[in-house]
Amino acid sequence: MSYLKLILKNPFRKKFKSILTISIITFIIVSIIFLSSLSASGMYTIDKSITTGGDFVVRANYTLFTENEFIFINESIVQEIESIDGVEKATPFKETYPEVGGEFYVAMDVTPYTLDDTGTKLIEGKFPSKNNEILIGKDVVKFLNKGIGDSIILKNKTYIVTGIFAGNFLMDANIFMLPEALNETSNYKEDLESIKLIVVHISNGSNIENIKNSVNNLHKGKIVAISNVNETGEYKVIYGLMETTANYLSFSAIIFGGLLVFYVMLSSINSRVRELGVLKAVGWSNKQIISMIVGESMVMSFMAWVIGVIISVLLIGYMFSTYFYFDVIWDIWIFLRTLAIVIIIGIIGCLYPAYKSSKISPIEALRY
Amino acid sequence: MSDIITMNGVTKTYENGNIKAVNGVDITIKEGDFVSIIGPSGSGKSTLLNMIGALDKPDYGHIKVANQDLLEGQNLHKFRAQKIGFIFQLHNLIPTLTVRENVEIPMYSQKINSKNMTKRSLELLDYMGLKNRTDNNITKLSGGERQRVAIARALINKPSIILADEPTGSLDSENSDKVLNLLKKLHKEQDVTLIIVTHDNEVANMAERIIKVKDGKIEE
Ligand SMILES: Nc1ncnc2c1ncn2[C@@H]1O[C@H](COP(=O)(O)OP(=O)(O)OP(=O)(O)O)[C@@H](O)[C@H]1O
Ligand SMILES: [Mg+2]
Repeated sequence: MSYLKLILKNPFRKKFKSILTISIITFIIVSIIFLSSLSASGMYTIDKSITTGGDFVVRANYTLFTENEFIFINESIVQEIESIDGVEKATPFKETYPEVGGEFYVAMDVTPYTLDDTGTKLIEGKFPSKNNEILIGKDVVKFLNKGIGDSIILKNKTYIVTGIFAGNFLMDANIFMLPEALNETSNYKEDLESIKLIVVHISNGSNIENIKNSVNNLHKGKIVAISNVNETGEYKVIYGLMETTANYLSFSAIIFGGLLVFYVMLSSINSRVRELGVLKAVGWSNKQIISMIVGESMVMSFMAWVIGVIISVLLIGYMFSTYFYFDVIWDIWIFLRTLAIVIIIGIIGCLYPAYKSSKISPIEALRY
Repeated sequence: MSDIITMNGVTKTYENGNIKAVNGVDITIKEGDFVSIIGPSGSGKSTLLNMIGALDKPDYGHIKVANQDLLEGQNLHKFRAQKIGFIFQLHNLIPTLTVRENVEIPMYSQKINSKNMTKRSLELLDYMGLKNRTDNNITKLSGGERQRVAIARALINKPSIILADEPTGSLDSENSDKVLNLLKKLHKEQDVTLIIVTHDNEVANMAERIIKVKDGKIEE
């Protein structure tokens, strides 16, 4: 029998305790990997979509705004942006927020000429030609179970779906309609007069950071130029929170998992005093005894890691595409970090039990 | 034959010197001898044996076993692994392992690969008449069989001395005889020095030499 097999057998003598410990550590490992991957994948997916069809977008700085100040972003600001050196084109979009089936959707004014700027393409059907016709994003198709030819009621008016668009994570759950249709749908002055999103293209060779700075300086930071997810307030907060939670979990995993393994290992050696004495009597050195105890502790925490990684991979693979519509980012560091966590758990769990078992006197143990 | 064990003025006390478990003992035992140590309960037999096997250290005196000075204290685990085979009153086998795995346990302290381990343990178990029990769990064995496995474990590293502390103490007379006959056979065929602790006169009389112990002293 190999030494490894001997070590593998020992942790499972007290099956209930070991399996419970492994399950708890596995659960924590899965939570850490899941949250960290959710954060990484979410950030990646949003980062990829954030500029929609342009080089960057301009929005109100929500953190600075009170509600009625939205009206402040109007056509004249679009012109100010277009007159900045290096800006080729700035396309404004208005939005309104109709409710369908208890959920609020974003409806935008889009024309055949501005569709590209949303970062999406028509994947089915044709562009609306009348004010009672709309396009819906591919996620709306799933949410509402509607397709081309179906009607949808928005703010008491009935609209017919003429086409379906897709191609941008941030747009695919939206509804597109002609500008006049948007005016008819919306009854809020704010929705009608304020621009919610400006998609900006820059000319070849111009410096995007300089142009963004000029935009940010236009109105004392009330409008912000965004070309990556870190420049948005809200997403950064959400995913930052997940990251922080994952960090706290990692920390608690070490403490809690370490204590659990410690408890299981200690009770394991306490019930094996006699046996450890025999091992010494037949010639095992303290080093061998210690490495066996360390090995047993490592086997438990490492098994929790392997099972945790397998469960996480399956869970992430299934849930991210099914429920979050994210591109999955497999970040090797997330897995290595949890590996480091289980190694620390294994070490914390075995230090004292290993020391204690090396101190067992064989004669005392045999009298036990 | 040369002396394999020499003890000079060996004393072991407990409870701050109030209990003299072994009291100024001098013994020499020749290589290849079959010796029994007999005496009443509490007379210090086990303490004596444990000191020979380097499980315990004397407070005073000098012990030399198989050319190693046991007071030096270095690498005594190596000495135990290579020179000594212990057999206890209770078999002290590991319940979660099979017969063969239990026998292999002392070999982990030697540098032997697992293939050779298996070869050696199977040979030995065959010799011990346990050929068809090798992959059984210990818990499936009778008391006598367990003790035979324990003897195989003591022999696996080919020690020069077998120390048996009441090896038949927990067996019925039939199994006792089997174990004792096996030990006698081992002594004859394998040329090992055999020391059996007992308080049974019949067992003691099987030996070539009887050492009587009383109150920690020898009365040979
Ligand atoms: N750890 C200890 N602490 C205190 N006293 C001890 C200890 N170990 C042994 N003794 C005492 O030393 C004496 C000798 O003990 P030992 O075990 O050697 O006797 P023994 O001859 O083997 O007896 P038995 O036949 O009952 O096994 C006894 O009086 C025992 O109580
Ligand atoms: Mg005794």
